Amino acid sequence: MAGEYLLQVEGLKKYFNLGKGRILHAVDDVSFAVRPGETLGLVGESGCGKTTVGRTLLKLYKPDGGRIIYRDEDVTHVPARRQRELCCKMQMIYQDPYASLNPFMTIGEIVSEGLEINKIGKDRAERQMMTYDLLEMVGLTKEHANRFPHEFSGGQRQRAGIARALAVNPEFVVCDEAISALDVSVQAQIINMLLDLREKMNLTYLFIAHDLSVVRYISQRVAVMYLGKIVEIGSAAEVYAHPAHPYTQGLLNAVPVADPEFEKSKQYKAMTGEVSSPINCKPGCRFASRCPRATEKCRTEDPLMKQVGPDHFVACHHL
Amino acid sequence: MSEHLLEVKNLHVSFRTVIGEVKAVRGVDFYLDRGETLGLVGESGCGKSVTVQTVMRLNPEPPAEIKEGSIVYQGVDIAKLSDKEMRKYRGKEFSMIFQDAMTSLNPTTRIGKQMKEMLQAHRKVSDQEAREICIRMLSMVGLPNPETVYERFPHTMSGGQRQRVMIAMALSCNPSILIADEPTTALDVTIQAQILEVMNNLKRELNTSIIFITHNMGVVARMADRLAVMYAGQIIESGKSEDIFYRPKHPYTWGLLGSMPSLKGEVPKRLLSIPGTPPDLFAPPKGCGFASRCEHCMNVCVNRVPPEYDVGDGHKVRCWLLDPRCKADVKPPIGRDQELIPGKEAE
Repeated sequence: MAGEYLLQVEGLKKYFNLGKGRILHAVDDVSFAVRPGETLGLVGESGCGKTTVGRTLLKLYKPDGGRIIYRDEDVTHVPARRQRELCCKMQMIYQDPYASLNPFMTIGEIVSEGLEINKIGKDRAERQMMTYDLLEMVGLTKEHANRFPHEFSGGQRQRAGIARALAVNPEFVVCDEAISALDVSVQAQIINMLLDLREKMNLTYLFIAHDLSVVRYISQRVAVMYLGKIVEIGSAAEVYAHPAHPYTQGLLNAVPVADPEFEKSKQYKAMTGEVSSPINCKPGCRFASRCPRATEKCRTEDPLMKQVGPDHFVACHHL
Repeated sequence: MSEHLLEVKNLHVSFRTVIGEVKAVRGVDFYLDRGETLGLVGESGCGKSVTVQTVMRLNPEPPAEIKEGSIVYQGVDIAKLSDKEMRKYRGKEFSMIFQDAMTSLNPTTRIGKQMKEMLQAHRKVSDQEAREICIRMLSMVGLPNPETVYERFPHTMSGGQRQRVMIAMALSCNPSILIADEPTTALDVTIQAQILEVMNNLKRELNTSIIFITHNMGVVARMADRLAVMYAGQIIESGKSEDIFYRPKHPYTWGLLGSMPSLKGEVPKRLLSIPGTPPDLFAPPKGCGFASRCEHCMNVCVNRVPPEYDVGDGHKVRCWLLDPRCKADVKPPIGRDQELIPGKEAE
């Protein structure tokens, strides 16, 4: 066990109290593990809790249950000093490049802030050199360092956000919808860059996205979330080729493919209904209300994770 | 004169701003036939929304201005109509659904009242009849319990439900053209699949023509009979959907198709990406708009706007590479039914 995984998550829970006895089960008993150097894709529709998982891992939210194990160390609750060291190891790239950069700071200040706080580099001059190197690494130039975020396009801002995350030399990076706010041609530039950086800096990604095609492209393994729970997890090739959970099947069927003949002959099994509310969840499979195969058991009993193949696990009563 | 339902010719639209004139649409030609779906694709800022908003005449003039060109609908040039005359068309002959269903409905008014208002503006119907028509439309778009939906406020409904209401409202006067501006971009994939299904069914039932704007090549593959690819205010390639997907000719279309990972087929080693960013439309380039990002750029591309070359079967491309005088031997990196650059197809 030891050393095989970079990060292990066991039974992670995050509830939000909305008052008046209403509790939002954003992340409810989620377990997964990430090996060093691999990319785990986390997919699901909006509101399924995928962003909350990413934020809870980095302790931007305090977990309400479960354990987060990083390099064999339980980091669920650690003193502030240790937490700050961990922040250098685990970083995040945010979804919205327009909101995630401080408009009062120059790009150079934004990127070098992490270096200063963590006293990386011996003096200001060295930190400045490191900042320039980082900017060049993400495809910006050192002239950009003195400019403010509003002078940049979305793609350039996202590059700056990536430089900031990589400044402290992390091992694990959560990419929270890092490319969904960008245009397609710029998306491809950023995806290619993320892949290059993964090689170059030996990074491990948790790649959170709603776009299944992008996740298939970038990930070795993939986890599908629905209403706060992981319903299917496994190697990307396996999950995309043989989806076992009815939700994964419906989700993959719903994605239109850029091939008109295929699209026009395809049988759409449109998933009926919409995601139900995550507030005060009842026991039973969360997907039961939309599932074509739902039975009485599904509505009353939580399905457990079952192994259906090598590195392929599914939470469904019908397997 | 024209046999097409709608024909846009050489349309130029500019916006006056304090820092100069933005040439948002620079010579767009396209047509739409009855019962067909035209997909208009391109990245943000390429002028696709401005083009259709001009067809609807939704842009306040000034600052917008139709510099040149005509928009002929059933023999009438609607580019020249006054705002008052335009009202007869807007909503009745053309209607539009928007990307943001959250903000396109009036939050203080019940769904039914909003729908009825629009219906009675164009047709002489009693309140009772209007209510019946609205409820029939709401059930046609697949909303359960249309009678209760009729009484609800927009904020009590989800994004997908609101987009259905928008479609019901847009189609309630039985328009000949429905313009859909990124109608599913804000929705989840499973909801997107439901909405596309509704639109396809209604199109068949009501024989409506659709102009479908999107940047998602998958969605357009599913919806469109014909496609027009826009870049920097111009249509750079247009033709039958199959021609564009399987035999693309313009380097920008290659980039657009190649930069999207697909759910089908082998996982490519690397995505084709287009370097750089689109040009500034305050000072549009003298030649081809794509020249600065194009790896096959020649001298002529920088200096002169390429004419439209017809490569057969209505497939039109604006690119100097297709000129018979062009000596460069450029093979496309993408496209199922054409000769590819050797070695690239393996990726």
